[in-house]
Amino acid sequence: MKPLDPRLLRYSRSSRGFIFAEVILAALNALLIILQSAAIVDLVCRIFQSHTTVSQLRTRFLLVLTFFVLRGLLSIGSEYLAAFSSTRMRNELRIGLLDKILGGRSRAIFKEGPATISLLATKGIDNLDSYFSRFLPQLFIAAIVPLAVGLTITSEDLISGAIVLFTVPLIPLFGILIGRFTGAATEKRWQTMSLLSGYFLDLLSGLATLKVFGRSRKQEERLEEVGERYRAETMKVLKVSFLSSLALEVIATLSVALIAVSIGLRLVDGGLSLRTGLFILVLAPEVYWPIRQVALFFHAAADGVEAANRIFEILEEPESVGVEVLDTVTEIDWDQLTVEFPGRETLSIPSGRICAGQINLITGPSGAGKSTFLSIILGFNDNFIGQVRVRAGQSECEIRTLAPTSWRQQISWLPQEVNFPAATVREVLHQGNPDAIDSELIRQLSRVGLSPSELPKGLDTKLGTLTETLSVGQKRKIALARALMKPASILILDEPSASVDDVSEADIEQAITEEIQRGKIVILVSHRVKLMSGESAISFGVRS
Amino acid sequence: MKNLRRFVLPEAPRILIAAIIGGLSSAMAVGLLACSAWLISMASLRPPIMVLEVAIVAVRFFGLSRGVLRYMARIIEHNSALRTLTKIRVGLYLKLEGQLPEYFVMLRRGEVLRRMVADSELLMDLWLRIANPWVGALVSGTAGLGIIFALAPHLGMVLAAIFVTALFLIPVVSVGLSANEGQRREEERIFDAIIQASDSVQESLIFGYQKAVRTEIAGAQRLLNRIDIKSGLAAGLAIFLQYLVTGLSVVIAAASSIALFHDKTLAGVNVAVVVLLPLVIFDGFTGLPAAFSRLSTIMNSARSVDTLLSEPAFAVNLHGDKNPSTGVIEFANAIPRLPMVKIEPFSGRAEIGRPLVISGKSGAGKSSLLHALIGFLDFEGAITISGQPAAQMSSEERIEEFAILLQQDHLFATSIRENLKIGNPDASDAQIMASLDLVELSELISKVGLETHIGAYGHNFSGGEKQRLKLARTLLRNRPYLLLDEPFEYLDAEQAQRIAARVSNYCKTKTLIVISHLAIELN
Repeated sequence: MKPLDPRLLRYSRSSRGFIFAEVILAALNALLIILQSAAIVDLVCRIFQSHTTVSQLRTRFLLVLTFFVLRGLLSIGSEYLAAFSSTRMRNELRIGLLDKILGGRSRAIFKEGPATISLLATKGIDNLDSYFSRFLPQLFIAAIVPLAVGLTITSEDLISGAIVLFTVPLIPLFGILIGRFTGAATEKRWQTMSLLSGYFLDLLSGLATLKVFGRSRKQEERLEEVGERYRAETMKVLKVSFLSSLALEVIATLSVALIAVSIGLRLVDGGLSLRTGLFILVLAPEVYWPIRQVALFFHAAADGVEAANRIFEILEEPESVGVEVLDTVTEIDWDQLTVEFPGRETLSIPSGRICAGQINLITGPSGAGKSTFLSIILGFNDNFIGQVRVRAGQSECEIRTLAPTSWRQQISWLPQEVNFPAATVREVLHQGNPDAIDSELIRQLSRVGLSPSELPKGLDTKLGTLTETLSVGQKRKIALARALMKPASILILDEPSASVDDVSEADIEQAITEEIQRGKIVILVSHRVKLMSGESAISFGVRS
Repeated sequence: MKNLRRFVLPEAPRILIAAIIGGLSSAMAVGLLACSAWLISMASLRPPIMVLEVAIVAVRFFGLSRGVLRYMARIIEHNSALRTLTKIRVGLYLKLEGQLPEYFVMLRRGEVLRRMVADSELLMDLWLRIANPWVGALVSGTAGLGIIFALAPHLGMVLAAIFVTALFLIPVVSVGLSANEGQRREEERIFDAIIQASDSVQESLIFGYQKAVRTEIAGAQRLLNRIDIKSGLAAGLAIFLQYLVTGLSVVIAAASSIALFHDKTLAGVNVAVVVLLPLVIFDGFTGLPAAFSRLSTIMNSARSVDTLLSEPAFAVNLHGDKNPSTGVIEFANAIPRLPMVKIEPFSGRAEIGRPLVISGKSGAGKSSLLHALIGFLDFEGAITISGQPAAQMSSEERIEEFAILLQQDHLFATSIRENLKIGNPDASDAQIMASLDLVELSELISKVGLETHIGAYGHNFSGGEKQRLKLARTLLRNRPYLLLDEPFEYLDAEQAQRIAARVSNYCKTKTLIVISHLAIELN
């Protein structure tokens, strides 16, 4: 975990200008701190040592006030800049992450599941706010202000300068030492947190199940236990990180005390003037304060930094190198394919061939690898051993050398579990073919046995919302209609008649036959062998 | 905020103690400056060293105790905050658990994620970032003003007036200029869009609508940006005010100390103390503007958690005497009540050895009928269980008699054993294996082991395997009535037929209701 990750500059263009501006602001800040302290001390000395009147000092009062006002104006500028840039930078990272994930250019979402990724893209990135808008500006202040103020102190009084020189390095030194512990601990905390949020989500997704087994009340204890573990874990981390703040605070305040006492003793000896003494006393905390502050913000920003690390990992993930583009695909064949599953036996898919103009039925007992095979054809899984050859007329390519975008354009798909975005039935069907007019949409729906009168608001019925009233079977029919509408050369149907009644099943069978006659490659996974019986079937065996 | 208060109040004394200790810690910085200023001024008069001794010790004491007190305060307040967080989460869970079940069957994940995780965590900031620092600023400021008051009462009073004004003005300015409800709605829109997009990333790739999702998110983000920037400006303005009042206080202190010094009411050595103290009195304000600019966001979270906590629990019917199970369930013109959907009345009867198979077009209301039977939905007409009207029994009472397989049943991200034990917590491994044998999974599971993790959303298993695991879980629950909604989904016809035969054999002494669009022979 680095305070300033070079990857940030690479993935967020706004960060460069921001860093430059922050350096300038920090330098101005240092200058104002020194001038303001000098002006105040000057006032005190004039009052204490020479008999003056208020009117004599009027311009000096104004000067002091001016410095305060200038520092205030500087704060407005720096807060504005921080808010503006933090927003821009988080935006850039979020969009970068989503482009990579939604563009199918990262495997992370298929490996870690959607919940982990959405937590990262929402809360993870929001956690970066304290890193961008608090920690980073303070980092530059901590680099510039102590240096400038320390030099000023040294030029006024060598001994005080020596104390500063000796104590200031202790702060980062302790910071690094303690950071070693907190680094690992923060990672653990992030894990506990995503564990906890995943656990919550799992629990709530299964609330209906728990309820029908009369087990939902029992989860209360478990939730408490997990929450308690989270608290204990977090407190462990916090105790260490607060300990580092304690060390920094003690070093800082004790150093100021040390400087004050040493100045006092030398004043008694007459080796120093009151003006110098007070000037150093006022300046000394300004050396330690920014460093202490930066350590404080660092802990607050640690969660964000951890999220940033994971985002950078995803952004740096190597992408598919496929570039080949094929015309209308007519045939696909493959060797025996082997796929590793963590915690399970290796899956082996027998070699086979599928082509246009016929029904390609994939059968086999559950667990034989039918869905895995589909994910390979869909291009979501390139982690297999063996070759899948795709042919279009005379040209032939291995599936992993194909350009993903153009390959996906050739494919239409009915997934086993449908996930609609929040949209109307019309919008969802337009995803299959954006140019289709309403009468065409209705025709496609009736092809799969769904009449618009079954939908509460016809084509304007909302899908994917909180109060969806459509049945599982109706939703599958809409997804099937969407799949049929896409002008693609390959149509993959995973259990098209699941949850569907017998009458509609006949309609669906008819629709599939029509698609085959149009020359599409139809890949059908179905347990209902009644459907399309007698066609060429590719049977996946049981796992060996 | 009545409901929330219940969770917060038990920890309130500890939080307040932490705030005061934190304030004392800042007061140590005030003491350090006052003592040092006096020490240096006194030293410049070259007194005997004995005079300075006490001040030297005090300076070191203040230097050391500041950090220690701060450490104590932070440990106490964080511990209390986290403890409260767990309580709030459990409270939220219990509330959701008590909702009308149909509500959480339909609950969208994004909604839950945002409410449960983000809102409850934001609540901690209400004390850690806002209330406690404010009390701390008050305590340390009072200490500094106390010293000034002791040295120059009139000046002390003037500065106290400025201090109190600032103590209220700065938060008011930060809150007034910061973001509003709009921010929250936009944030929700972004979060929901992202969660939905990640859930359906494969479909969006194939159907090419990922661009639309991205545009939606970018559009919402642009609005959010403007609000964020406004909050930044508000915080900046509040910091400006802090500098302004500090500067004014220094100048006022300096100007009035001239006269006081001439009058000999203020000793010369104390001039530096009086003029320099305002520099630290307002130190406690640092961080308050940024914190208060988020107050409305935090209060919104608090309100939405509070609203969720105050939702009325799902009404439990009066508990009457329950008839002993006769094994008969009867529907007479039963119509499940669903918004906007018209469902045809259904009549039918199930008894031991004579299963009831409910089939029909998708969307005809088969699952809703089952939900009505188990009390997840209201209904019209009559449903009787063991001769007793279902409407007279609570959902819990009915469920107690049933072993149910829902269409939306969930496999939990834990081991196979833990998942099956939800069906029967006391089941032995042998019983679990026997149940798995009924659904033709015993061979696979004995190979991979009952310890095998199912993975998030049943990731590691195929659709058919997941379906059979759920069925095995239901079969493990030994109840007089067995209700199965589409139990043979994702299975090939032969396997479905085999499992159906085994299940009906296993249920010879039970009453079986099956919803299926397949023509399954049950006897």
